[in-house]
Amino acid sequence: MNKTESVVVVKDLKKYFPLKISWLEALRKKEKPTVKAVDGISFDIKSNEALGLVGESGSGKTTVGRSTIRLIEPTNGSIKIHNQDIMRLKGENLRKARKNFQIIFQDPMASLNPYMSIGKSVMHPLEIHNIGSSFKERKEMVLELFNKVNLKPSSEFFNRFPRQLSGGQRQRVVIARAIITNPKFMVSDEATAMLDVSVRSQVLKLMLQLKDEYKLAFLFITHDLASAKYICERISVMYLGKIVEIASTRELFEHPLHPYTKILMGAIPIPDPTIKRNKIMPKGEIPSPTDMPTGCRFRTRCPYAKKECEDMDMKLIDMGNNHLSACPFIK
Amino acid sequence: MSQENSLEIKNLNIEYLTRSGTVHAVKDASFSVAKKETLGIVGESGCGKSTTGHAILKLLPSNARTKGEIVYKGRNVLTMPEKEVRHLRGKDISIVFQDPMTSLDPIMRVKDHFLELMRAHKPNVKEEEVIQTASEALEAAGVSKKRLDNYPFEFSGGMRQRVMIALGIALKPNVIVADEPTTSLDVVVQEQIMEVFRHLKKTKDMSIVLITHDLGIVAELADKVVVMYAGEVMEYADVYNLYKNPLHPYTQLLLKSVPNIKIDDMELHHIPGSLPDLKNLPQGCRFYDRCPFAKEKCKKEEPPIFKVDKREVRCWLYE
Repeated sequence: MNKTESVVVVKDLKKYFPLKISWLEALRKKEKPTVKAVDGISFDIKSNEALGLVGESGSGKTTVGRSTIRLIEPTNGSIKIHNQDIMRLKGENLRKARKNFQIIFQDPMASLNPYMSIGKSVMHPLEIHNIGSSFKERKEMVLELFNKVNLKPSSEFFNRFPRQLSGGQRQRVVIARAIITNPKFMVSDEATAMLDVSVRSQVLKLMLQLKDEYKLAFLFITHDLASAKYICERISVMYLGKIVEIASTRELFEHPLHPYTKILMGAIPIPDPTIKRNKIMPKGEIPSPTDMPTGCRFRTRCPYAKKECEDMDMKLIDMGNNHLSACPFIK
Repeated sequence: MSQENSLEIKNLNIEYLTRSGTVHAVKDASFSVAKKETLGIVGESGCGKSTTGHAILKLLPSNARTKGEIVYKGRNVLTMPEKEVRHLRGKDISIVFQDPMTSLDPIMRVKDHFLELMRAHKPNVKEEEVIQTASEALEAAGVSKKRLDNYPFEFSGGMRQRVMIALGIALKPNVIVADEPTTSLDVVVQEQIMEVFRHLKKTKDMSIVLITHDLGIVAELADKVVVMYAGEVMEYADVYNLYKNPLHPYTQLLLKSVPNIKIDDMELHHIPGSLPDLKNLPQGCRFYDRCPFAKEKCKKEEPPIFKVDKREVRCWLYE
């Protein structure tokens, strides 16, 4: 892969959250216990490419999204977005850089100020980053974007408030606000999870269209493999803070290698009553991130686990075709 | 009407009176649930599926107005006095809610939840009996009986949902209403819970009313399906025919817009437009605005239910 054309390059990203302990325990123990939410993951995304980040709750996928754009401070790692070293930026410089990377959250109602008209909400980033010279010019830009995200008639929508919109429309507003600064990199954190099926596809289509138009590097975080399939060129699967598999979408769906990916795929219900599958299910439940198994983190639930899994280091191995998997035993 | 039905819903109408107007949540819904059958009620938010499910146990809020019949053992639940409905709940008809954290009492042990449930029906029940019943129910739902003394916070989301199901089946009800039982869970845990339901279907003599927005779950568990849109039953059919040959345009579009994991199907479909306002419904068909086959007649007249070989569909196309 040619590194120079990647818009986003993340290396060895780590985020450890310290656990609260009583002062007595603190005196006894030397090392503070931590939750390793993200434990050394690397990825890169080119322009006009969407990378899916799929995993169950607690796998650390949201933490990856937020620490990549420094909404939370990573413990370690290097992040380059559009040739800029994000980890070194501070204060005003970081704020200025933020126009290049934006995020869309799951709940649009929580992302929008209920007392601000949606037109003003979308205009706000322009004011912060000093784009456009007058109110009139900025409003013009907002109206144009409203047309693009299908909030029509745009001049009517400009003065509406979030509560007057449907869930799908609100998410369009949030997307418009994220795209208006013309970013290079976009994180979507479960942006379609709350929407109904008939509306979900509308929003997915819009994201695809904008990705193409703005040549965005897109990090698409979701628990829903099926949605990721439509958006992403490549998909990475996370389990307990580690990426266990990463491959092109087609490759991943046709030849999933890691046992966890196989299980995840088998668990998705198929809307066809004639299909009866033989499902492999994991043993037990996801272990607590404060007390992680040694070696492969999935071994306690893996149906194929053996002795060697206890002391291996979950490194991604290239299995050919740019298909990386953390399980050396299944090829 | 056949004797084999454990539940019959006839011309059910539900309205909510609110300050800003009357919300017509359910209109003229009729369907039945046979013994040992799983009926899926599927639809998007605001279609009235949960309202219908809650009405079966008479659990609607005080601003709800109901008309029609919900017949259980020859009697209409909707007109039964509250005291008698209480005897039904849990013992004859039970419900499993979507969110297991808010449905379990955080300061009560699992055992106490069973105790409370059983005391409601048998005030002087012995503790041994409670433990016996609870152990059996937990076992069936895949929870070890060792966890009877645990509090809800000591369980994971999936385990809590299993406890909820165990509470639902403890008194061997004839009907269990499951309202989005897997919605807040991860796919892998969801599959484990579906396995519990599959097991219940095989081993217990009860009817399940499965309320969900997920067409995949319906396909895997249900025998018959009711498709609801904006408070109306649009289609009512057995699961194989519904998925093979959906009749109502809404069902057709809905099935198309579900993301699936077949890699060769990369086309994204959606239904244009949005749900009509339930306070201010259109005169004709409620799906008129979004329907690709809409005719002049659909705008003016609301379609009745048409029967098409043992199936039911609310659409003028089948007149």
